[in-house]
Amino acid sequence: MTDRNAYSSWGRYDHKEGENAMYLSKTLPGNKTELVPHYGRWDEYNTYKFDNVSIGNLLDLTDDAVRQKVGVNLDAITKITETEIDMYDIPNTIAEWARKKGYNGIIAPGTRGVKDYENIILFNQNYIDDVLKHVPSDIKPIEK
Amino acid sequence: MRKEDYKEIKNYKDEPEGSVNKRIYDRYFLPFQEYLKKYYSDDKRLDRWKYFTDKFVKPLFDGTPYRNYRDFLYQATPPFCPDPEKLEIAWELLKDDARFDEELKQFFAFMCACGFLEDWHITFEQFLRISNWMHPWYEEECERKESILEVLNHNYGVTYLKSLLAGAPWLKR
Repeated sequence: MTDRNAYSSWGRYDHKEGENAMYLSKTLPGNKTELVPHYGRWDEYNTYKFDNVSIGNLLDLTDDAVRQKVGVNLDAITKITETEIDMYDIPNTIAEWARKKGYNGIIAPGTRGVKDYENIILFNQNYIDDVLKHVPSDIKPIEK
Repeated sequence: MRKEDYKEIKNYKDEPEGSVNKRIYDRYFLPFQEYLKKYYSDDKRLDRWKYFTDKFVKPLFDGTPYRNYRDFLYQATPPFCPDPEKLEIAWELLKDDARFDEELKQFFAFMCACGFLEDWHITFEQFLRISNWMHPWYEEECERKESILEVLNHNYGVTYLKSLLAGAPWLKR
């Protein structure tokens, strides 16, 4: 991931001018909903599928009971507004808290289309390197 | 935005002032000038614009050697790389354009130099007149959006425009 001192890209679960994060989708259709059409056409992207990857200690915001404990409702973390400052305020705060508490990342409800998918957000490059160490370095993008 | 979402937004009418839902409602149902006055009269809305332009736009105009800028891009890994020759051509055309302030002129020259308009198969003048300038590759079903030139005709329109441009999906993907 990009060093925050060079550039902080600011997403729903990575704070502006804070550490960056890696965003993945649990499923291929979910990934497509996430990217298309908001970020462009599907064929503009290379998409990689990681099999047999084990990730632990994630804050699962798709779980009603977890959200209740965190004190946030689904609507507050899945809103789409014109500018990031409005829609990222609450999820940014949760992500900052999760980092401080030592979570490796977050399982988050998708926010685009009919919102029927889930994303995985990972906080730390060393952890990402570790969980992906069994993935072949010459992995090919899936065919579209 | 889908029609279902638009119907849902109508239900936000009586949400408390200051809430995100009220803001979303206002975007669609308040006259645009009133919306701008209510939400974009504060320069704090420009924090992200300043952050982005300080990093990626101003160094192209403040005498920073291009090799230093390129080294920075290598570290920052953004999804764009402005071409210095295209930048020079764009700046020649934009530098005396009275429709925009200096920051916007520099941003638009940067944008042209990144090749976005070529990707979208539109000219700069077309870009200024389309309503889907945040995502020129598709039109949303129920979107309410003024063109860039229309936005700039309003008080606080510059703040609104800069706030949105700084978060444009074509700068993030």
